[in-house]
Amino acid sequence: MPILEIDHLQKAYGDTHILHDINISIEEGDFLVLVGPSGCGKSTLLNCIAGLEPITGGTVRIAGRDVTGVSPKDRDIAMVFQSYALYPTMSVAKNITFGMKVRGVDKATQDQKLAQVASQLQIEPLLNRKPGQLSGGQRQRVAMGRALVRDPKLFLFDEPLSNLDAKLRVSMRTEIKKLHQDLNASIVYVTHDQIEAMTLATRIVVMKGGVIQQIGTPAEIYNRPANMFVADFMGSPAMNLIPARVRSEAGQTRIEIDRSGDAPLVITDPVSRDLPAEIVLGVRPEDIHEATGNAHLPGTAQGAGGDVMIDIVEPAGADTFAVTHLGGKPVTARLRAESAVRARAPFPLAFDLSKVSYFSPKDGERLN
Amino acid sequence: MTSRTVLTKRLSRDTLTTPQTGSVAKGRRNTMLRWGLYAILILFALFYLMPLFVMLTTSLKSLEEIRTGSLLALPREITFAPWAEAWSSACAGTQCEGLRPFFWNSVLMAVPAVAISTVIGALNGYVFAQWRFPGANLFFAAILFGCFIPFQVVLLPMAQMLGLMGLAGTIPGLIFVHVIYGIGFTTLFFRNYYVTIPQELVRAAKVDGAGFFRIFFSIFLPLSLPIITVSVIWQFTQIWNDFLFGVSFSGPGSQPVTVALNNIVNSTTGVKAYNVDMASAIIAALPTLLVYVVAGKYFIRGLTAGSVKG
Ligand SMILES: Nc1ncnc2c1ncn2[C@@H]1O[C@H](COP(=O)(O)OP(=O)(O)OP(=O)(O)O)[C@@H](O)[C@H]1O
Ligand SMILES: [Mg+2]
Repeated sequence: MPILEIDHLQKAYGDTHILHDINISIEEGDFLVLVGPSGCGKSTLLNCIAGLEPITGGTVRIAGRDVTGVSPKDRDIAMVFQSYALYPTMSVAKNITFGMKVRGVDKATQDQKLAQVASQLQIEPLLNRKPGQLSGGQRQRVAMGRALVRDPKLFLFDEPLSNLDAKLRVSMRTEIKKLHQDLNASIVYVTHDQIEAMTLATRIVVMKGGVIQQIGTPAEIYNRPANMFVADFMGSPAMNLIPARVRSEAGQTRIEIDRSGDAPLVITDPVSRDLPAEIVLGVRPEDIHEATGNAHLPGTAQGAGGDVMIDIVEPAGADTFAVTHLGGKPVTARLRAESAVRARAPFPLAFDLSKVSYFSPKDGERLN
Repeated sequence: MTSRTVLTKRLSRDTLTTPQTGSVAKGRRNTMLRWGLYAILILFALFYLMPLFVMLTTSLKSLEEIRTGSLLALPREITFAPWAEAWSSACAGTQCEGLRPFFWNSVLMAVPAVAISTVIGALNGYVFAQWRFPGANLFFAAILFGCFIPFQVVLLPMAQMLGLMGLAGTIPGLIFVHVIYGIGFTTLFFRNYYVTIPQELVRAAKVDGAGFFRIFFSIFLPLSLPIITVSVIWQFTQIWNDFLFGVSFSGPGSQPVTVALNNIVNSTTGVKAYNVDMASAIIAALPTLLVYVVAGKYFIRGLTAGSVKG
């Protein structure tokens, strides 16, 4: 039985439609990440799941129970807010136990659960402080504690790490992942940080303008993006999206890419068929390799590359990024650090055709 | 008082201790400026304190001394007899019991009226700030409009209303009028204060299982001390000092102290007892003064709260 099931959910404020026909279903223990650009409706969707915003259409089911008209307190959920929303006049301990107190849990149980959560999150020394006397990271922990102590069916997190500095964010990310594994909790997590999405999720929902673009595992989203928006949004540096022409020649698909100052680059794809005449070829930087004459890279089809003019070389420690121009677009390749690539000189590059995506330039949808 | 000292401090910091290059002439000019500033401030303070001084000294003089001495002179012989008379035996109209019964009328009127209007204002403000409902803006506009209705306009309908409710000429009637009139202001105060409290707090509390009143008492009320102070001071001053409603809606047994003061001052027969009048006036003004002295600091803080984060 799915722990959360969203069916044809619609949300509008007056005439402004914010969410369009949302369908999501996750199993117990899933870590679902809602990701998308600012203003796409992630928080709104989370608030709809929580019952903090009434929905305009559709149903929400939690653990099999239809909770569409049920108030937040009866949905068996806990939530961590972007601003943490700690009660400013209460001590950390009171903040954490407030929910239990409201629900009439007896004092002994409260104390026991508080102690358990405090040690889990290592906030024992802070229990008597007020939220105003805590650092950002500590507040974040307290907010997590307030949710954990409830032991709900479903956890909802709204960008819980976005107010932390970069380093703390990375370490808290690891902690959240660990918590998820330890508790086997079901989590819906909102972020606009695609790295956070990739590292935490068991399933990702990519949204844009209130419409779901793709739902899938991190690997599916990364390797087989459903459209150009997803391809561009997930991954850093972003996937290269190169306009190209398709020709059928002797039963083989040949792809032609304009190359600056030279004849077009022609590569042969032995697998793909029935592509339209105009396509956009999507290839991740790490799937562009140095084409070595003798050594065949695994998965690299023969004739899937050629010499290109390198514009910029950016060494980045473990890797070196080489930027060239193909099809009128800058194209980044992620090469080994010891690569002999040099700026303003031609360099042989090959595409790993087993990993490329083809998109329709008209609607941006995936073709292969 | 507090605001004035703050102003002085700020002025002196800005204009007088700006980065100096060690020039002696500049230093001397600054000292002179500072003294000039003090002189002006002292002059203003004296000007404002003069009436109080005259009232206080006059109230401590005998009638004989008032007639012969100068208005500004200190009393040669201090007497508390006028205060005693003002409190317990001066004649307000035909009733010669001093201000005392009327003073208690005012207390009995002001305390509940302040308390009730503050509580209602807090709840109203809480709803307007955090529980948006359809038509909320219209309601709020209507309440705001209530702040600007002149007293005179409501006198007749209110008298009729009180008559219908059987509260005409009673202290509960006065309480009712003052509560109604105060709600506009108290609602405005609390609403403006509560909109600065982030909505996510309410959402968090809702998820935690708290309801409307639980959220109010556990989260909003503990944050409200500054604005409660503002509301109490404002309402107390308004209600205690009110004359028009007092004179219009009170009966013989329910007149507030302001009305009695007017009667005492106007109903002297023969020689005008200035000392008793002054003592009466001071007694009538004392409670509001006291409230300011005790809570004035929080008043200013409350008025500016929300505009400054922290
Ligand atoms: N009360 C409201 N009335 C009308 N429109 C609203 C309201 N609340 C939010 N919106 C709109 O809904 C859209 C989605 O908002 P939402 O807060 O869900 O975005 P988000 O994806 O969480 O963005 P962010 O990453 O910036 O938090 C926005 O365009 C916003 O303007
Ligand atoms: Mg958001």
